Amino acid sequence: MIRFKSIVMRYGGFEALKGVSLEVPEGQLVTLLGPSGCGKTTLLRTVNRLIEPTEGTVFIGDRDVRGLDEVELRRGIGYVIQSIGLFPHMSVLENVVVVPRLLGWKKEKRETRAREMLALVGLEPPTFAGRYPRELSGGQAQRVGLARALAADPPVLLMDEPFGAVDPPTRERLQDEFQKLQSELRKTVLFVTHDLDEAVKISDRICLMSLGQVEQYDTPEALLRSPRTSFVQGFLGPSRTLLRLSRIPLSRLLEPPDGHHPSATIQHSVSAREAFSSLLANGLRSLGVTDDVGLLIGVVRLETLLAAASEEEP
Amino acid sequence: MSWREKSPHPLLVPLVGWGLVLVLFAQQSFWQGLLSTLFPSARSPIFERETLLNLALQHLAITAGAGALVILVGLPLAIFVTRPAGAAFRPLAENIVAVGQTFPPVAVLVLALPFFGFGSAGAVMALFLYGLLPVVRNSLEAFASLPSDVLDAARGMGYSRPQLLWRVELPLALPVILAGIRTSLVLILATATVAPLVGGGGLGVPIIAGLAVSNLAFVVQGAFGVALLALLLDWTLGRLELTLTPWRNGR
Ligand SMILES: Nc1ncnc2c1ncn2[C@@H]1O[C@H](COP(=O)(O)OP(=O)(O)O)[C@@H](O)[C@H]1O
Ligand SMILES: [Mg+2]
Repeated sequence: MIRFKSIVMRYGGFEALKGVSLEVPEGQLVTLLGPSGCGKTTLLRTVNRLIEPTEGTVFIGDRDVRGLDEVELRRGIGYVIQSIGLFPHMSVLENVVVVPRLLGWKKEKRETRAREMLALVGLEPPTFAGRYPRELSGGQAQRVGLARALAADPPVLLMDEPFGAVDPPTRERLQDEFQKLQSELRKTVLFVTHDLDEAVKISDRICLMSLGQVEQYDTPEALLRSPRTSFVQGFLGPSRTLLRLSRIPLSRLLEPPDGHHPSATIQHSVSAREAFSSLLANGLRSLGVTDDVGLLIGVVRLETLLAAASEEEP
Repeated sequence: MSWREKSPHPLLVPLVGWGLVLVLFAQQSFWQGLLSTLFPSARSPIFERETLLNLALQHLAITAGAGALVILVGLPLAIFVTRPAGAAFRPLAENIVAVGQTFPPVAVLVLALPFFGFGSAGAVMALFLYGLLPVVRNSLEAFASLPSDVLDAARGMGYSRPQLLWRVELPLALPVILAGIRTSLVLILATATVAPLVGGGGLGVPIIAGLAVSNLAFVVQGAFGVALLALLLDWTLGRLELTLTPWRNGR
């Protein structure tokens, strides 16, 4: 658990954070969302003490981070940044085991761990272990950055726009894979983004910030359903109804097959939003839904999707 | 570690090169023959007080002495003034080092004479002052231009300050530092030709003697030796850069 208590950060006369209080529950993924310059990065960096706030206290568990040795503290926290910051003079393998090495792990244990981590983030160890960062694509480098942050199995992860620098298809794939990983690993994650879609997609809770303050802290569903201030309403914009669909798994809206042969099908594992896009794109009123091996398991109808999007919380 | 698969070792070739050049310098009678063919009118075509090999070795010894001092003083100096504790001394260090190079080496040699007396020590000191600038300037530049995202990531991972210096900053600064060392050593080697003015040895001895007695053969002998050594040194240090920073070259 990470807890911020009345964090104020002043640069000269400018207040970058104006008294932020927030709790990130154990095992949850919380995004700090908001326009550029609203203080997300500043808040994130108070956790591993790369920034010391002017006022206020950050707790990890029940311990004030100022009471911990800063080097020890940082080795216990995974850290991923947008520009990745891989060490150009180290091979991929050496990059991944930086923290285990700082922690004094034995060489065999480190290398075993590095191979596990590379496989975990979808990079075949034999191909990638010996490469240098300059020999990687943007998406591959970002995977290495994630493997590096996870290598020492820290309970807490700080991620500052980790998928911000890659092209949109790669970004979506990385988000999907990260989401899957997180559902297994259950780290306590503080995740900075300015991308509403991304936040809605991956968060357990979203902290929407503006000008150094928290505007609303809620689950994505609640945030989208009932924006509390006009800033939030404006930030979410007209697509919030559509965004609500991206939180609904398609399997929840499934109806049994109606006997007709569907003119288009979609995988059951996608979100209701993707089914909706597919209906619009194909100009249809219903879609067949298939399982992992392509067998028809049901249909989803446009009316069901529309109802789900506008439905009040039960 | 990444040269593991390549064979032979990339520094083997320069090593063989040095061996060959020294063997070449040792062929005193060959040089005598060559120079007397080229300068048939010269009274004595080859410098006889000292063999060519010995002159070359003296020259290398002076260069090595000054070069070692430059590295041992220049690099720590640059590291010190780029740490928070030493930042206040940075302008001072930069100025002293720059002044060291603006003085003509001959003037530095003569000014150093009262302190070090006649002999190679004075020459080494003067060349050290003269050669300090490229190493210090490049090292300062190298530490100032390290990628800030990499340093941020390193601090966030939990490197302590000394670990950050040894495992991240120095390796990343190394290419630019090595380029400075290369410039500096070649400069020192070429400038060491003036060492005989304060009683030092080296390949400058036949040049200066040749100028004094208008014997062109002596001058050619020294100048050719210096040029050959300078080229070889430059090439060797270039190879060394490649070997020490394998991460900069694609496979
Ligand atoms: N070192 C600094 N000195 C002065 N102002 C800063 C400094 N770091 C950040 N700021 C300011 O604080 C505000 C918040 O910055 P940041 O946390 O990086 O925003 P975000 O990550 O939300 O884009 C910005 O207005 C930025 O200009
Ligand atoms: Mg930011």
